[in-house]
Order: sequence, then C-alpha cells, then structure tokens
Amino acid sequence: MKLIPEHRQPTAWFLLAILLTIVGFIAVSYTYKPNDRAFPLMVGYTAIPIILLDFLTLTKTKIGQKISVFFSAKTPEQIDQDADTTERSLGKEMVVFLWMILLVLGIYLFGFLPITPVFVFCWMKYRGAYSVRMSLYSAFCTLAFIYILFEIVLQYELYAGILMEIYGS
Amino acid sequence: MFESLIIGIDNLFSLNSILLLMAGSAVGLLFGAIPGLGGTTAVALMIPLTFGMEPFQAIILMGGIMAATSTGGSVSAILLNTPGIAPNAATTFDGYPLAKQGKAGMAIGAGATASALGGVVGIISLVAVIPIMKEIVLLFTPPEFFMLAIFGLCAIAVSSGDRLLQGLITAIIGLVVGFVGLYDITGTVRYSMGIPLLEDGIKLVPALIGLFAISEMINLAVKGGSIAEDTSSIAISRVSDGVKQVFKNWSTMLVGSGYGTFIGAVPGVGGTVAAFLSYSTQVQRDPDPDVEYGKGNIKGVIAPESANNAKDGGSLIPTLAFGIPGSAETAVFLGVLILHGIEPGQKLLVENEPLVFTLVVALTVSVIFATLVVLALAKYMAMLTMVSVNVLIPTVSVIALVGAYALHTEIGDVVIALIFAIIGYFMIRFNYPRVTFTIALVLGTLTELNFDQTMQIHDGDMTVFLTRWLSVTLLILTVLSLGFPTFRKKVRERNRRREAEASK
Amino acid sequence: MLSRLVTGTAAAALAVGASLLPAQAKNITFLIAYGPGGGFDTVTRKLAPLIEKHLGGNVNVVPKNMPGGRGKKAANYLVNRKPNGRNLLIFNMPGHAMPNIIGEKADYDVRTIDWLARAAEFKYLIVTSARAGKFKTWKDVTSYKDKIKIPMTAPGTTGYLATAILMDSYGIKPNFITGYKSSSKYALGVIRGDGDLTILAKGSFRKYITSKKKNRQAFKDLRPLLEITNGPSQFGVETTGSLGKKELAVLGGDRMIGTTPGTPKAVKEKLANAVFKAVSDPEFAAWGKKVGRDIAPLNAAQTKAKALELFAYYSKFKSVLAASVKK
Repeated sequence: MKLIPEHRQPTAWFLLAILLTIVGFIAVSYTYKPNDRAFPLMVGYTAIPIILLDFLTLTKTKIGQKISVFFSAKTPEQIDQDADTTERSLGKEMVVFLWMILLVLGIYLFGFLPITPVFVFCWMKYRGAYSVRMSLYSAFCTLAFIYILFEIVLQYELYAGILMEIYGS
Repeated sequence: MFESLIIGIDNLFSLNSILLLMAGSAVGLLFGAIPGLGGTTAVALMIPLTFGMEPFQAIILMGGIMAATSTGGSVSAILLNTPGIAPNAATTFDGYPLAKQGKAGMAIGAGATASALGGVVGIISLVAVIPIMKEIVLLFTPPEFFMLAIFGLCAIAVSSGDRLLQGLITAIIGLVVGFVGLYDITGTVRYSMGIPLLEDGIKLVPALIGLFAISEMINLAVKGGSIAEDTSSIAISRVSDGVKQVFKNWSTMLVGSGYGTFIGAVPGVGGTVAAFLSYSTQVQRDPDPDVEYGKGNIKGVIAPESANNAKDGGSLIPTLAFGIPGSAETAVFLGVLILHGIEPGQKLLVENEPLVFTLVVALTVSVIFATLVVLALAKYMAMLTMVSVNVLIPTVSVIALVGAYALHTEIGDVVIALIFAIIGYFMIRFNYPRVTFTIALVLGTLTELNFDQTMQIHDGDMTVFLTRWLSVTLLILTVLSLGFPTFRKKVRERNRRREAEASK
Repeated sequence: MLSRLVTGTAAAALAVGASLLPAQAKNITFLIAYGPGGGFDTVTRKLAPLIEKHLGGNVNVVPKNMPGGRGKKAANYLVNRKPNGRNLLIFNMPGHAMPNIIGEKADYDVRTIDWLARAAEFKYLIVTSARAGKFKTWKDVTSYKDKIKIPMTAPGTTGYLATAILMDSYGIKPNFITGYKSSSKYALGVIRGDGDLTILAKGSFRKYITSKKKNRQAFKDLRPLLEITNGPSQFGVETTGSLGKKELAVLGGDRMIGTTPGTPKAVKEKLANAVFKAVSDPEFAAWGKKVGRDIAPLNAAQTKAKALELFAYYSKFKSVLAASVKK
C-alpha cells in the first residue's frame, strides 16, 4: 500500500468495501430474469470504473492528480487540506458504534421503554461525566416524553422486546 | 367561486374553527419536527377525533396539520441535521452547516418564512389553475415521468460540488439500495436476501433517520463539543435576519414555490423531489455564491423550504381533478373525506365548492400561523445547538429510533436505521456526500419503473422520448442544466485570465 | 389570548390521552393490511366505532395499519396471535387467498380463519378512455386483432388476476402495462391513453361520472365497456351474464372480517354477533351508499361458506394465476 499515503488509507478501505458490495450486487443481479436485472446491471457496471477512478485519486501518482483536478478542480493535496481534521481513532469510533449497537440490541430484547432511561442515564453518567442526579433527571424526562407522546397520546404500542413477544401476551 | 371563498372564510372565522386550526397546526408542527412521524401519521391518527365533527371542521383540522408539518420538519433539519419529514432532506444541506456556525436562528427564520410564502404561492396557484388542472395532470405520462426523474438525477452533478466522483459513488449506492424489494413492473422481489422486511423495500424514512440523525450523533460523539462550533455568534444571528433574507432573495423563493406547485401536481413524484430540484436549480442559478453551497448558504434553505410547502397546494390539484391523491398525506386526507361521506373527485368541486374553499383558506391561515409560532420560538429552539453533546446524543438517538419504529411499527426499521447510521458516519468521515445518495434513493426506482412502462406502452420504441414535446423540453432542460455551469465557469475563467493579462 | 390557546391545546391533548388510558387493557386491535387512506383503511375505521357500539361494555376497537407484503404481513400477524379474539382483520378476498392457491409461503390459510362476517363486496367493470379510447363497445374489443394494452398494478394483484381470468375466457391475450401503484393511478393511465382499457371496481368508477341523471350519465373521462354481473347493467352496457359467461360473475372482491383461528367458541360467537350487527347497522349502509361502497353483510357461517366457495373457484384458474405471478 505504498502507493497510497498513510492518511488516505482508511478512505481506500472504505472504497474497497463499496467495490466489494457492488461486485456482490452484480453477482446477485445475474440470478434475476433479464427484465429485472437490466437496469441494476447498468448501474453496477457504471459503478466499477467510477470507483477505480476515485481509487486512483487517492494514490500519489500523476494520473491520480490529473483525475482529481479533472473532476473536482482540486489536487488531492488541496482536498486533504479542506478535509475535516478532527482526530478520529478507530478505537474511539468502535466504542461509539458499540454503544449504538447495544442500544438497538437492548431495544430489540427488552423494548423501548425500559431501555430508554437506561441508555440516557448510562451515556450521561459514563460518557458525559454528569452527576447521578442530572443523569437520572434527563433519563426520566426522555422516558416521560416518549411514554406520554407515543403510548398515551398517539396510542402506539411501542415495541416491548422480543422476550415479551415470546413469553408475554 | 368568489361566493364559495366567502363561505370558506366564514367557516373558518368562528372561535371553534380557529381553535381547531390552531390545534391542527400545533400537531402538524410537532409531528413534522419529530423524525419518523410526519403529516401522514398525524392525519391518520386524528381521524377518530373528527368523527363527531362537521365535515368542514374536519377539513379545517386536517388542513391545519398538512400545512404545518413541513415547517416543523425544517426545524429539526436545521438544528439536528435530521429531516423531520422526507421533503425536508434538502434543507439539511445548508441549514445544518448554518446551525454549526451558530446561525440556527437565522436559518430557522428563513426556513419558516420561505415555508409560509411558498405555501401561499402554492395555494394561489391551486386556485388559479382550477379551470385547467385536468390538462396539467394529463400532460405527464411515463415518458415525461422518466425525463423528469433523469432531470432530477442530474441534480447529483451540481449538488456534489467539488466531490463529483465521490457524489457519483454515493448516488450509485443510493440506486442500489433503491432496487431492494418488490419491483412493481414484474412482481419480482429483488435483493431482499430472504429477509421478509426487505420485500417491501428499504423505507425512505428509517434510512434517512439513520443516515442523517443518528450518524450525526455518532459523529458528535467522536468529536465532542456541541452542534454549534462557534457559540459566540449565536447571540448575533437573529431570527429577523432570516426573515429579511427571504424577501431579499425573493426570486429563489418564487422559483422554489414554482417547483413545489408544479411537481406537487404530478401524482407519484412528491415533495422530496420538488425540494431537491429546487435546491439544485438554486445552486445552478448562482454559480458564484458568496458562501459555497453545502457550507451554510441561506439560499440553500430558502429554495427547498419554499418548494416543500408549495407542494401542499399543488398536490391538491390531482386530488380535485380526478380524486387521485398527489401525495401520501392527501391520500389519507381523501380517506377522511370518504369517512365523512364526501366523495372526492370532480364532483367535490362541482357540488361542494364551499368545502374546497374552506380547505384552501384553512391551508393558507395554517401555514402562516405555523410560521409565526416557529418564528416566535426560533430563538429558544436555536439554543438546542448549544446543548452539550452528551445530553443531546442519548436523547436524540432514542427519540429518532422511536420515530424510525413508529412509522410502520416495525422493529426491523430500527435495525435499518442503525445500519444506515454507520454507513452515514463513514460518509461524513471520508467526505462522501450524503445529498447525492438521498437523491438517487428517491429517484432511482421512479426512473427504472417509468422507463420500463414507457417501453411497455410504446413497444420498446425509444424515439418517444424525442417525439413528445414535454419529454423533449425536459431533456433540453437536463442538457442545459448540465452544460450551463461548465459554460459559465469557462467564461469566468477566460475573463479572469484577461484581467490577469490586463493587469500585467 | 395566546396563553389561553396553549392551555386549551394542552388540555385537549391531555383529555385525549386520559380518556384512552384506563381502558387500554380491553382493547381489540382492528388490523388494516394496507396503508392509511385506502379503501380498507376507511372501511375499517368506519366499522371500528360501530363494533365498539355493538360489543357494549368498555371495549375499545383500535384500528392499526400494518402494511407489507401485499397484505400478507397483517394476515400472518393475525394468525400468530393468541386465539383470544383481541385481533381482527378485514381480509381482501381473493387477494389474500392467492398465496394459498398457488402455494406461495404464508403462515395463514384462508380456509381455517375464524370468519366473523362480511362487510362489503365489489364487482368489476371494464372501462376505456372516453377521450383516447379506440373501443366503443365490448364487441370492438373481442374483434380487435392487435394486442390490447391494459394498465395495471403489479402482477399477482387482485385486479391483475381478475383481468387475466376474464381475458382468458374470451381468448384474448392481454398485454399488461404493469407498475401502477393503485387502481386510481392505472385509471388515470387509461384516461391519458397509456393503454386501451382496464378493470375498475364499480364503486371507484362512480367518481368518474360527471352527471347524476340516471339515463344520461356523462362519461367525460372513462367510459364503461363491459360489466361483470349476471344481473342488469347499472351503466347501460353489455354484461358478462348477457353474453353467456355466467361463471365470470364471481370475479370481484369481498371484504371479510376474520380473527385468529382457534378462538374459543363463546368469545367467537359474541364477537361474530357484534361484528355482524355492525356491518348490518343502518349507519354503515347509509355511509356505503353515500360513498359508493357496496355494503353486503353476511353472517359468520355464510362468510365461511363464501370463503370456501371463492377458494374453490379461483383454484380452478391456478394455471392462469401462477403464470401471471411468474411472468
């Protein structure tokens, strides 16, 4: 991966993931009848050269520079300068993803109402370093808002969790 | 007609009606602002309340709701980068950057004012075209729909700014996502991977909630701070500045309203497309902006907001001409009329003209009322951008997920929102535009379906696109819209070179 | 003034909330297999309070939209509930029977549903564009040699199947233009000349008639060609009965209300009684007349018999149906 400067490597991986998705998409398309796959295939095959071109703009080559200038009137270096410079470590990101995944998993297992205050409280207390009182207060307010608006006023039966679905009424 | 208008006004101006209208507007604002709920849900949920009412009262309540939702939706689009309803998606592109710069108050002010004016333009157009509205609806057949969709897709090129290549890639992903589910032409379920939830396709609202709201929360969690990066300017940005901006940029507002009315009148296209087209047209009309689009240009808020409110009037055109709803909301609204024993369609206009005008008056007053409420509260709502992220993230994430669930009471939609949140986060991180993804997702199936329908109708003859005047007009517009910015750029470059030479 | 309004709105919201709170345990969910605003939605919402009225006591009947899989999702949901009569659904017959007939996967079987009553039925009408249509009578259609183009919803939908069966019986090979989202969309398609003719429920057709006078109905947008009935024509055109195709009169749709299979007899009887009273309620009939819905009440036993009859009838066309789905 010497071709691609280190700071652009994460982007390259992202592009690779997209490329693989598109290849998979094209493969699946061939399982459908001609009428069903014509348009998707056109889209899929258009994607591949575009992705490859974008890949080239990430490299430290002359051709990459030229492509970048042609499409965006900026060199890759200028784009690097424009980019958001926030420090983003993969570890930090994974932790946030995990929180969100746990939230959705919790909703799936136990339902919205129990998980809402737990999530709000935990986030504020452990990520935001708020006091227990403040965290509890926000947790309660969010729960009250959701409960009153959705369950009472709108008469939604908010999802109660897969456990309730199986063992409940 | 004039007499009916008087009856309509008279119907509205009793204490009871005004209260109903205000209640409707309040509900509409709230439902518009909470992502996932939207006007369709609001109208559907209020149906039982209308049972004890006179038909005109039900119409006033429903009109109040319908007119206010997209105004409410603009607030969350600006403050939280979350389109309250799908047509507000285009408002996020410049609205949220403004909020980040601490100018949320101005953006909300401009959005709300554009909404009110756009709404009024839409309603006036509705009344104006009543005599010829049938012809307008009949103008659009599948070849025209196809060309309109292509015209919309070309907005991708202008909306991605200096990230054209990347914009194309995300657009393709949007198209791919749009292919998932039942294809109405062949009745085949495609790309569902055997998951029943995906058989009906990936729904727009949960996807948008993930892509915009939750991904932004993840981004904030990684970055820290508050939404407004520059909290010092919040006090300076005034709501009234936003109002003034709309009057200053009146042509932007008018063009947006035009798009809204026109596209609203075409059944099956909808406010989201209208807002996108209005936005991209604005970007094209203004090649040398004082602030780059996508980085907080106020005109990028005015254009879509005037369009998505004007479409309320527009979408009533097919409703009144043929009894065919122009949007999901009007579909439910038609249901309400039927429940009250009123048969929609041309008969409604012939036999119940006063009721139609009651609706017209209710829509007008409501859209203005909703705007006044938003303007009055904008200053306080803008404070939300100063709230610390660690309060905002958990509360907004949870409420957004409830919204993703509520639309179809489908837990799988929550998972979809999460998946799109992660995709959306990577798009933010690697600077891949989300705008183009959304445009492609909305227009992709429309393009494919209308192309295939055209081929079925005209036995595979491609020349129909060139032999129908409206189709050709749309094609020329598309080519112009692609070529015009390049042409202008070339001219500007040449002028610059000349200046440089002259100064040597 | 403003503060009074705000308090008023808040009070109204609270009142709505409070009124719903205590009775929640006794709710009956009235499922709607399609999205809000359509025909099933309105009928369900009109019936819900009437069922409440005839059930008596403190029971709420709450309509709930559960669109998905062309109605399959709600039906699957219904049969997977506890059989306690707390869930109702208006089935779209024959649409809901299709997966059972052609052997597509579905959790439910329309033959084993606990039927309660039939609310309404509709019969079809073949229509053409009054402006752009090239056919004046049904005879023009049957003697037409070229392909006949028919705008329609996706393959496998009720209208598609009825048209396929009808055309099959006349030996016409139709050329469907598919992809329209609803019957009103494909009706518009015919009006503007996308195709030659299409099928419409008689009730939906009524909104295209511009004059009320019985003998001088003006058909400005759509004109009827053929009515599917064994009785006299309502619109002064030929009927399938008069043309000797008596067996086609079944083609149409029935809106039948069912609950989870295995519901205890006592519960089911009480419920069936209330639902039948609701669909026979004069208020419901009057409403149907006003908005052009053919209210046609049947009791539980009759509904069950009707469901079996329809199943048997459409099973005869299995090959036509399967072909249309697999196109």
